[in-house]
Amino acid sequence: MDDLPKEFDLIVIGTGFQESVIAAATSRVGKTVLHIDQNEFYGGFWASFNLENFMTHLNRDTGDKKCKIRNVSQEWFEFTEEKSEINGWNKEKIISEGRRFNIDLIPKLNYCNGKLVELLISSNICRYTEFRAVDKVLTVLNGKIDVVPGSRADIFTKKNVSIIEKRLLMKFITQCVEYKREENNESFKEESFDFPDDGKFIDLMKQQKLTDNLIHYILYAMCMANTETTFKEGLEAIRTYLTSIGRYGNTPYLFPMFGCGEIPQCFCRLCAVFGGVYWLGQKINDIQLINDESGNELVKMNFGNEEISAKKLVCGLDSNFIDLNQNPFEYISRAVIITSSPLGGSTVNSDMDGGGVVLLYYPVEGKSDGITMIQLAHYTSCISKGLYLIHLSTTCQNGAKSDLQPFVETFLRHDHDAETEDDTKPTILFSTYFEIPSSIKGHDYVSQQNGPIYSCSGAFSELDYDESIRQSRLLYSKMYPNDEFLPKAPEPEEIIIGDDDDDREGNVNLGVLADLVPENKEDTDKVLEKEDMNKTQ
Amino acid sequence: MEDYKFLFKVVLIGNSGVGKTCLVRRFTQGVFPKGQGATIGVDFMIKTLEIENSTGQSENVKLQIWDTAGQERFRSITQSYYRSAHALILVYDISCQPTFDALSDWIREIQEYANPKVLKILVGNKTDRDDREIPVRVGEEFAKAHDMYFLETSSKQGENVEKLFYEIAAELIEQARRQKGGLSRTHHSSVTNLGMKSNISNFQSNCCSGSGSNNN
Repeated sequence: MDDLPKEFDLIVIGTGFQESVIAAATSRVGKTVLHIDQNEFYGGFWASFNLENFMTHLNRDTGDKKCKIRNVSQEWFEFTEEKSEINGWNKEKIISEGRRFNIDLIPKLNYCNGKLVELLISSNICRYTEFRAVDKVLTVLNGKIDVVPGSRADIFTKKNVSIIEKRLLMKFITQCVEYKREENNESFKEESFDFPDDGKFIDLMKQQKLTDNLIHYILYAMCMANTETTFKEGLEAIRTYLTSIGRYGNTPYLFPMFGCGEIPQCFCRLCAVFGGVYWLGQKINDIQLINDESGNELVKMNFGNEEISAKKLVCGLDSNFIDLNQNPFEYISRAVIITSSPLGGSTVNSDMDGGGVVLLYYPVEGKSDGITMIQLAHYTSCISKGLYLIHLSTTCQNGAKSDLQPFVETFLRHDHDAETEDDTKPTILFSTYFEIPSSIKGHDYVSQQNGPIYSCSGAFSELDYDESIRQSRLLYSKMYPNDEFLPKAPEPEEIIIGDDDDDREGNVNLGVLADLVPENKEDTDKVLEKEDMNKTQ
Repeated sequence: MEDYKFLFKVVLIGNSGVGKTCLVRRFTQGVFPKGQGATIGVDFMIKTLEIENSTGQSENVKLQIWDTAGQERFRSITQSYYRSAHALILVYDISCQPTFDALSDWIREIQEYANPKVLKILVGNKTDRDDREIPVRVGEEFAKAHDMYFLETSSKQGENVEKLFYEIAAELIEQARRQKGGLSRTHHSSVTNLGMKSNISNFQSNCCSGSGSNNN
């Protein structure tokens, strides 16, 4: 019964984000999809791994593959007899816990009101994953790490923001939200900004007499922008920020439980639910274009012992079947650092145990994008309790180590001195640097594709998935101009199952999904452990 | 609010053709599907059970039973399928040795991706068949060695199917009771399920124009 069909509407090679979105969308509207990955795991360049698999993956021999992770280096803290552990952790202990880590190749956050969240809800794919609201947004003000006031309450309890500043900030934010370019109402216009769209956002803020403090918060922490950002871009960024805040938590961001590698898999699950066939770890020998009897182009693919044909084929960036001369790609510089204390130490972590997700955007002079830092603790199910996973990313310019140096040297330390008062700089217990292929250059590469073989880009250097989703939609509409993009999947009670005479008693009904993860996993585990012991006694 | 006190996620795994989908359909709909292929678009099935607790009162429990969506066929189940499952049913076909031999591979997957404390049940299905290849004792021993509950079922005749799910529900309730607070349904702020409509609110009410409703 395991005979694989010989013909599909679509073959997708690679299980990265874009490929998985296309596969799900295509399967969702009733087309047949074969989704394969030459890797044994889901996600390609978007995957998450436990510590051991992460290291194996980074160091694996990729042969003559051109599009691959490059310049990998790794380093452990040198534990000695005098310094055999830091806060109770050493190399052996970290490795022994490493099985439960989920380390992202490309970490991302999602705006609560962003395109990914919107898509997950509108397609009902949200039932496959859960998120944690980012606990805190940090910024670097006058060389020191500081907590960004997110909500109105935060702003008003912030000591280093004066009352006048608070009023200015609220007024400015309100104006940003209400500003409409096409507004005709004269009296409204007077209240609003008189500023050209392509003027610089920072100049607008200066015009509005915002203080340097406020400009810093808005520009770097809320908008993740820089001094070159235009009014139009800045306005859009601050609106996204403001419409996202307070929706699920006190910051505007969400992080997926178990890491970002879950996200492409959610789309794969939907694809499978609608009949998509999945096969990982199969080597593809050959892809050819052929013509059928009526002269239509078909794609013929040989893999394993199978020969399959399909009307269309989509290749991911890491599939090795993309013409890289025609589709030159960029790299993202990455660092993954493990520490045993949170960034910024007790000065910014007094209100919590550092158990959540923390974001810090660090602008770098002379570079259009700064360094994005995402710190994960155990509540994300990505790392053990007591350890912190620090992800650094920026577009690759001079190599990962050199690109990320400005952050690492300022906020982390390589040595350890228990005597020192200053706990703001965590000691690096483990670090690895690498460069990972990201987006295909040129924003219009999608529109130049005419099939039947299409290629997908890797990640963009954006915090969220907005651009990836925009491109996936664009590609899908090129492939299937008459089909809807990921309409809402039915709830279980809406499905009528094709048995003729079954006697259902209305037992299928789904309301609001209750949360499925216990509030405090450790506690649950402890209780269960106790019970296990009782059982065996 | 719907009338149930607990909601549990139960996932099924095991080789293709061992009867996972039939088990779910027999239990949730009381039917034994004649053919394959009608399940396109089905993510999971729901059934609300009435369970008598230790104090003699009956409580409504909702089981959300997830099927593999065919991804087991070429060993390509997404890790996210295992996440946050409360119970895991590993199924083999008592008349098909290879489905039993594959159990160790499945155990490895469970160890890798599922919560270490997940409730695990080994099920030998198709007891209606007269060409049994796996003796009951062999199944029992495997289950014992891997810290699993064990049951043999027949989806075709309905044998032990109700029992399987009722026992899972009862055990999960007991587990939930032992936790502080007791109820798995209590909402908490640290994990966000996007599907929960109550989460959606307008930013203006809590950020700009000032009621601060979310900041209390």
